[in-house]
Order: sequence, then C-alpha cells, then structure tokens
Amino acid sequence: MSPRLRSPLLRLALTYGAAFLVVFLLLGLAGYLTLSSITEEEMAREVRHDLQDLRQWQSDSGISGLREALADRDVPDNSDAFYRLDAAGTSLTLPAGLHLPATLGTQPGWHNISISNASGTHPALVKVEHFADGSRLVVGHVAWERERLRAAVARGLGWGLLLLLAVAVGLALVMSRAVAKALAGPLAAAERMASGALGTRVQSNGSGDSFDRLALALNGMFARIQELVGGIAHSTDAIAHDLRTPLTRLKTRLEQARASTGDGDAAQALDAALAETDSLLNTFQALLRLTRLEADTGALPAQQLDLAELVRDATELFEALAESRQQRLHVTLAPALIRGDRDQLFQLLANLIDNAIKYSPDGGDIRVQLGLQGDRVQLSVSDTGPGIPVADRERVFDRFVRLETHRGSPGNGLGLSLVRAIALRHHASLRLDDAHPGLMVIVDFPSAIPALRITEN
Amino acid sequence: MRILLIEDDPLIADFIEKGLKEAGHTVQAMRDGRDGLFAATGEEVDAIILDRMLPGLDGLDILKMLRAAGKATPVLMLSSLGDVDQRVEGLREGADDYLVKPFAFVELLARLEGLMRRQESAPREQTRLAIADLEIDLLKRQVKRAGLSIELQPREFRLLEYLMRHADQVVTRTMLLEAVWDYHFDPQTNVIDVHISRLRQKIDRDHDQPLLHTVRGAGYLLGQRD
Repeated sequence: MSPRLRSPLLRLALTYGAAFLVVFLLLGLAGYLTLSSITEEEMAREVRHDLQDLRQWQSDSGISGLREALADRDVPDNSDAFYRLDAAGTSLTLPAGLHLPATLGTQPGWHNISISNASGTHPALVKVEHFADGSRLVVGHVAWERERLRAAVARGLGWGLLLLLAVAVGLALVMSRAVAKALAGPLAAAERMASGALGTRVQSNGSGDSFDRLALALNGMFARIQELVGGIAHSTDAIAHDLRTPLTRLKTRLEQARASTGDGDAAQALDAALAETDSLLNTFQALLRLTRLEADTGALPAQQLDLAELVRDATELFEALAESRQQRLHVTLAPALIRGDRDQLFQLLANLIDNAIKYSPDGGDIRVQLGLQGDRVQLSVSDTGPGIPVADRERVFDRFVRLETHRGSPGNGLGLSLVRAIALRHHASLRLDDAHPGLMVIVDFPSAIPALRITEN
Repeated sequence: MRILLIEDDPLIADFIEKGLKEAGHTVQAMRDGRDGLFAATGEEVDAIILDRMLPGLDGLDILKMLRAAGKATPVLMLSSLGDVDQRVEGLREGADDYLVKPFAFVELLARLEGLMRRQESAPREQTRLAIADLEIDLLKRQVKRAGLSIELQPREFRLLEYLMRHADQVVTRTMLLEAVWDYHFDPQTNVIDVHISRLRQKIDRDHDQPLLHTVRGAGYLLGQRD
C-alpha cells in the first residue's frame, strides 16, 4: 500500500466520504420507496375505480352489457389500463396485442404480474374479479410510472454517487495534504531536536489554531529540554569544581607532607594515602567524563576516521600487557570508515581490551575483530574468561556495577558505563554475547560510506 | 627561569610557588586575573602558569587577550575541568600545554621545563641524541649502548627517542600517551608500565648503570641518577 493511502488523515477523510455516501444512498432509497409506494397507491386507486365502474355495468346489464361497454372503450396499444374478460367461453383482451400470463384469472384479488406487448415486457398491477356466473374480469394498470421512477432514481443516484465520490476523494487529498503540510514543520523540528540541535524551534504562524498551539507547545518543550541538558552540563561542572578543590588540596597536602618525610613508616603511610587519593580522583574524573558524555547531544565531528587504524594502535599498545600474562592477542581487521571522536573511540577500545586481558586467565586468548556488514561496521572483542551470566548482561553497563566474582580486582566499575556512553554517542549499538568460553562484546557502528549493498547468499 | 603564576587558590599557589623556587626558578605569583594579565603583558617572563577559573577574568579570556597582544610567551594552563573538550579548547586558544588539577608537582615541573626547552632550541635538527653511554641515531634508526647495538621495535624506538629528548626530566604516563601514542585517554591499568619494563630490559639489563628509572607517583626518567 502506498504511503499516501496509509496516511491516517486520508483514511479519515475517506471514512467521512464513505459515511456521506451511505447516508446519501439511504436517503435515495427512502425517497425511492416513498415515491414508489405513492405511485403504487395511485395505480391501485385507478384500478379500483375502473373496476367499480365495470362492476356497475355488470350489475346493471349483466355480463353481456359489461362486454359491450368494454368493447366500446378506446384502449390504445400504449394505454396505461388494460382489461380481459373471460365469459361464456370467450376471451376479450384490451388492448388487443397484449399478452397476459396464462394462469391469470384463476385467483381473485390483487396481483403483480408481468405483461408483454409490442414495446416489451413491463410490470403491471391487476385485480381479478370473479362473478357469480363464473366469468372473470381482469382490470390492470401498466406500471409505467414505477419503471420510469426506477430509471430516474437510478440515474440520479448514479450521477450523485459519482459526484459524491469525486468530491470525497478530492477533499480527502486536499485535506490530508494540508494537514501533512501543517505537520511537516513540527515533525522536522522534532527530528532535528532529537539529533542534538537543541536550539531548534518551530515556526508559529500566529493563527492560534490547533496546529499553531502544537507548535508553541513543542517550542516550550524544546526550551525546557535545552535548559535541562544545559543544566546537567553546568551542574557537573559545578560539582567538578566544588569537589575537586578539596580533593586537590588533599592531594597537595599529602604531597607536601611526603616531600618533607624521609623514608620509613610515616613515608609508607603517606605513599599509601596518596595512592588512595589518586584512585579516588581517577574514579571521580571518570564519573565526570561519563556524565558529560551522556549529556552531550551535539553532532559528531564531520571528519571520517578508519577504525582499523585505532584498533591497530590499541592492540599494539596492549600487546605488551597481554604478553606479560602469556595471553595471545588475535586481531582481524578490515578498512572501516566511520565518523567519530578519535580519543573517545580509542578509550572505548582500550576499556574493552583492558577488560578482556584482565578477565582472561593467564595463557588465555583475546580476539579483536573488525569487519563490514552491509552498511554497518562491526567490532567485537572477546576473551576466554568466566563471561557474564545472561541475567547480568544489562546491568553491567550501569555505574559502579562489579559482579560478585570480580570484586577485589582493579577497576572502578565505570569502564563499561563509559563504553556504553561512547557507543551511544556514536550511534552504535552494543551487546554482549557468549564467546564459548568467555565474553564477547559487539559494537555495531553506522558506516561513514553510503552502503555498497553486498547481498549474501 | 622567570615564571609568572596566575592562580587564585592560596594553597595551590603556595604549593606551586614553593616547589618552583626549590627547583631554582624565580616566581611571581598573582592571585587575580586582571593583575595577572597586566603582569603578563607588561613584563618579560620565560613561562606563564595560568589557572582557567579565576575571579574577575576567565583564564581563557586572559589567554586570548595575551595572544591578541602579540605575546608568544609559553603558557601552561591549569584547570579543574578535566574534560577533553576543555583541553582542546584551551590548546586551540593558544595554550602550549594543559594540565588538570590535581597533579603531582613533578608533572607540573616536567611539563613546564618541556615548554621552555621547546622555546630555546630547535632540537628537531639533531640526528643524534646521547646520554651517558647510550646513543640513538635518528636517521639510521639505530640504538647503541657502550658500543653494543640494541634491537628495538618501532614503538620502543619512539618511546626511547621521547625519553631522550626529555633526558633528566620526569616524564608522566599521560605525556607518553600523548606524545608517543598520540591519544588522549585514561588507561585503567598501567599499560605503559609494561612497555617501559620491556625497554628497560633492553637498555639496562646488560649494563651496570641503570638509566631508565621509575619515579614514584609521577612517571619515568631517563638519566643518570646520583
């Protein structure tokens, strides 16, 4: 179904049209039935009248008198009224060329029948009268009116229907286009806003109608979002300053004390205290960075970079560490152009590889693979460690989550949170899988090159 | 070296001032942005240490005004806001180096001296660097100690080259990551340490005098320790 037809606006308009159509048809039908019954009434009255007249003749002058009276009547071929008299073995039909159904006359009373003459077959209304001597009289009226009426109504309804349809469809198209046009502005603005341009606003046409009110409401919402996001950045900066100053002083004082304490127990204690302070500061800095990254909805740098180059550098950097634990680093690369921040992406790689090394046993294997999948660039880092149980795979990305099995190992619980924030920032998807054994982390980036659609069998 | 320090926090300012004086430099300390700018434009100094968050005037604005006035004095910028964007912004506006508080004093000193060294000579023309009996030939990409050739991988070579250019100076892990690996990120583990150990193995193992030292709480130093 074309997108046009799928439009709810169009469907609504067509529904309206259909409703009007139905009403129109019903009215037409009602009109027809009313008119039809009126004409039927008319016909019946004429037949009754005629019959009464003829009955009078019969009662006054008997069947033969009736016969004469009938024969005297001028009944042209196209006459509305027609008659048949079966008496004393003979039959008289007026007009002469008329064909009546053979069984007619056996039952007295009113009948709707079909008669045929030179001009064709027509419906007719008849009354059959039985007289005491066994003779039968049929008085009828051809239902010209009914036919004409039917034809006229059919024509009228037909044209009316066409006109209505044309108007309905035309109106529907016009309406849906008008509404779509009115909504285009707000829709585009919402999309732009979602992509990070927080200053976007919808143009108001000052009309005050529903669409305009929507525009104004959206603007209010956008302003609030911009304020909140700005607020996050400002508050994290404020926290940074507020907390870093006492932490900085703490470190400074410890450094001063250490500088003036030779060697020995006091010095060792100060060294330990300094190490703890550094650890505290690292966690703090990572947290700040994380919050800022998550609040950052600005556009990515327009420049493209080859992720393969970063992976090469990262694996080279960590290779020494892996070797020191007799671990093997297996790397598979493919050129992979994406848009992004070089340092952030390197941080993502570093955190993942670092984790892989940390959690793999001595002598284990770490696999880093980079490849293209259609218009996506896929990066996977897997280790041969204990892996992460399926139940925990969502929450490991939250801040400060350390699984029970890993408590005590170095790290501040923010590594994966940072990975997730960077992935999201780069419009990449992130998931965890089983490496049989071990954990596999898969990051899926949009490629910077428009897709070369490679179809695989 | 004459150093102008523009920092409003008294504890930090004292800390830096004292440390620099002990290292043999002359220090002029300003607590206010406006006074600092005045001093920076008026007087001749070898280096400026400028805090980003100052009362009265934003450190970044001072930097911009300084550069606009044609002053090319090397500036080391200090900041509490450690975000990479901030750093890039500071460097783009004309800071020569950027350090995040809190820092170990040795790092401040190392970066400061690195700044001033950059100013005074054009060491890029040198094809040979040497310290004690360790020699490095940049053109031939060869390393020798006491006449014996040492095989180094490309990355190890770059690492040694950087250390030699900063011989007798403390070099922090961050500095190494930036200069030798060209990335600015926070490693969770001491991945640099392993590279240094390997290098140390190669250049110090067969010789009496160790040249590559680890400085507690700061980084590394290539030189003759007395």
